[in-house]
Amino acid sequence: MKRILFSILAILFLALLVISSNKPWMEAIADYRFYSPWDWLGPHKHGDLYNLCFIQDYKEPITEPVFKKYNTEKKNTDLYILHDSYLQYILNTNNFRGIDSLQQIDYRNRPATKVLNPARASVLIIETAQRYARWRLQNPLYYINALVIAKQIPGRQEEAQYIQEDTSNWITSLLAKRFNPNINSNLEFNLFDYAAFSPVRGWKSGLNYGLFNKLNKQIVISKDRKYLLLEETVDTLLNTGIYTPLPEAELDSMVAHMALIRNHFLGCGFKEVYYSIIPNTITVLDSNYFPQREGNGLIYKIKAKAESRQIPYIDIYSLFLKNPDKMYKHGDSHWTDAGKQIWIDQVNETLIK
Amino acid sequence: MLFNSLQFLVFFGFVTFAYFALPQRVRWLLLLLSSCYFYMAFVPAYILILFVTIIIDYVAGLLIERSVGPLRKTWLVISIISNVGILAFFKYYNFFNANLSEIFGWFDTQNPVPALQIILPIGLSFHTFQAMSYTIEVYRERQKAEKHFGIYALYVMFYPQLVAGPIERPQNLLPQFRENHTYDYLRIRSGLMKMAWGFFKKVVIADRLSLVVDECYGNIQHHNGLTMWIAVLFYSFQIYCDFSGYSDIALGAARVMGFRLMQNFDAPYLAKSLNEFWRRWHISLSTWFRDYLYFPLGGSHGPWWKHFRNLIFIFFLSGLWHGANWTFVIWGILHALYLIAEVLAGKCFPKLKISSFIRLLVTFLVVSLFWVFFRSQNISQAFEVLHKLTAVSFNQSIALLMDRNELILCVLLIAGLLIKERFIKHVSLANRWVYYSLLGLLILTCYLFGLYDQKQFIYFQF
Repeated sequence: MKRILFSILAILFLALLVISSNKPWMEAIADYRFYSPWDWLGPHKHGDLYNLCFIQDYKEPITEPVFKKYNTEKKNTDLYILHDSYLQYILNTNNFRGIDSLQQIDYRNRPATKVLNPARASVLIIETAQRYARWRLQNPLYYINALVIAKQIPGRQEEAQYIQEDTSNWITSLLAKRFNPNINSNLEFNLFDYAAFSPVRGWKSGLNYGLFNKLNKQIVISKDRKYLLLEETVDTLLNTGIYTPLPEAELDSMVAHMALIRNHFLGCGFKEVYYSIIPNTITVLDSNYFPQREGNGLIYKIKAKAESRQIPYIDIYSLFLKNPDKMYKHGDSHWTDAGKQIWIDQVNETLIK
Repeated sequence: MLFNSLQFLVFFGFVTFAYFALPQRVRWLLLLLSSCYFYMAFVPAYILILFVTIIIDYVAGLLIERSVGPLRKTWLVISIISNVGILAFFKYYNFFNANLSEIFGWFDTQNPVPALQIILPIGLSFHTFQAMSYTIEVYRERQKAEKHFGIYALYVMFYPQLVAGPIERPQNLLPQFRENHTYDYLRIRSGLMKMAWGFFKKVVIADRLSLVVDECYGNIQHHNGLTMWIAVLFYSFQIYCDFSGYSDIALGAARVMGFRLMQNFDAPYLAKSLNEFWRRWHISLSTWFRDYLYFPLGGSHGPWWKHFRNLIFIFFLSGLWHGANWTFVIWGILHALYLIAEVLAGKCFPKLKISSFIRLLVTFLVVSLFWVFFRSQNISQAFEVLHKLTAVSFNQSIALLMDRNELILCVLLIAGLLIKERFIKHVSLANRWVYYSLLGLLILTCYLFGLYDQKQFIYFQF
């Protein structure tokens, strides 16, 4: 009897290890839990940053996203959006004006292979969060390999150097699957990231914050104490931070890569390629977090440089500054639906043009 | 795989339940495969180095046993050279090369030997020493050569003690792999309690003290004498709780399955002399050096100069074992010199009586000051710290250090640790209520006050 019980328990523990090591399975579980209607499965719905500290003041209410819908005449256009978590909620075709179809490609699911419809104009928007912009734009391959267009136009040499075959062999790939570096966070997600544990986690967090003024290392509180911020966006050493110096040469290289990536996708058959960088919360709301330091101005510098090279850029930074308090969630690193609607409006304006 | 990770807890659950579910004849295979997975969770490719060592020593053991006369010694020497060669290449190549470059620099010439990008495999010094103790014991005919390759491989790779010891002897560990360990409720309770205490020492005490220590050693120029003193004293407890915490988890995890590993620590900061300290600190390494080097060299027998030479040589090697840096060598030599001073003081003033408390305090202070070399990145940093320590005043501010409440917690934790070590040697596990209350309290404290930022154990780097 004992042996049977131990066998069952051993299998359960092993299954937990195997599932938590498997990247595609974990992504599927995370997506399922995120979109599931059951609240007990997803305390992170109350804000990704709240879910790191459980301080009640920053708990986000769960709301259904509602965006403006349009029933306008179709203009024979397919819209492709390469995006990260800022656009993770599924948007619909009718959120945009005059498009026939919308194809969202999450960087997490890269590479995605698509075939463009030659009878329609295909437009691509490359969206990226500000905190990842420096890293991603230094690696053109990140974008080029994220979206593979099945029938690529041959003879484009300039970007060909970036398109490489995956050189890792099957052993490396097998080992990478078995020894997932995120296994601990995956296990935590599978074992404890449920609403039932939130009170205990909140108690721990409150105790440490109250006694030692200590929060999870990944977050800081804004100076006005209204927002939780990602620490990496205020870090002065990481290139995700807005206070980390941005040398002119790096900026030039980023814009040169933007041109290169754009040329690649134009060469693949897209009619136009737009860029859009979503500002970090701190960039809009709390740019004097360190009063003695100046932000590196990445957003407006990139915009100016891109426009000077005729690279189309969808800007929302200046619009966000007009009404900063309503653009970002208090306990989440992402924008509010109002913020996202501004971005959609800007895209619509661009599409109409 | 780090002990202080969720991955380990789930892994431990799987291995333990599977161990008791499987029949005895295949348990070695489960433990061997699990140990491979455990080791590969750090850097998968380095398991190949481990396998090379295992194959060499397995074959050497068989050859030594089968040979007679001087051939036995030849196989032993080949085995030792192979082990030390691998260790020397991975651990000391760049250290010696950097020193060689320094020497070439004195003569304004370029060092022709290239520097290599080598990452030290985790726990290399530990399992190399364990493997060497096997061939030496076979040579000395105190251990029969293991015929079963899998069980020999498991002796070197047994996951609880694979990366940071205790450095086991074959006589103790090898026979245990053939024992049929049954499910024993009391033994499992005792093992789990040992593990919980180890986790407490690591995630609650050591990692919290490390916040102060890392801050001070990382920004010496911003700190005054008082804060540096706090950092130096805290480091003594950090390294103790970090390393003995690891050993407790290892002993506990092994005990749950029925294995008895050797005790590695015995309240070292209650030692009243440095000599006693070394009988209480990292016992498996001290006894390794004692049995395989110090005694064969003559130990404390013979003329005084031989005794002192042996001490200096052993502690020089012990320092070098800890790391490829002159700071470790100096740390080792300082210990040897102080031990010599203790011997001389004992001979010159045989009737001198000093209170136990004073001796304990002096020993702790000396050990703490020697740790400065152990913790510093280089010799100049060590002297910078020591210089700061001389400029201490109680008017100095400790505001930069950490939150006041956290500092108080640190002091309370240290006091609690010392009280436990001094007065509570063993906790009776017979009373179920006492046991579960204590275990629950330890787990709750680990959860509430533990730091979980995947901080490696200090001794992993060795």
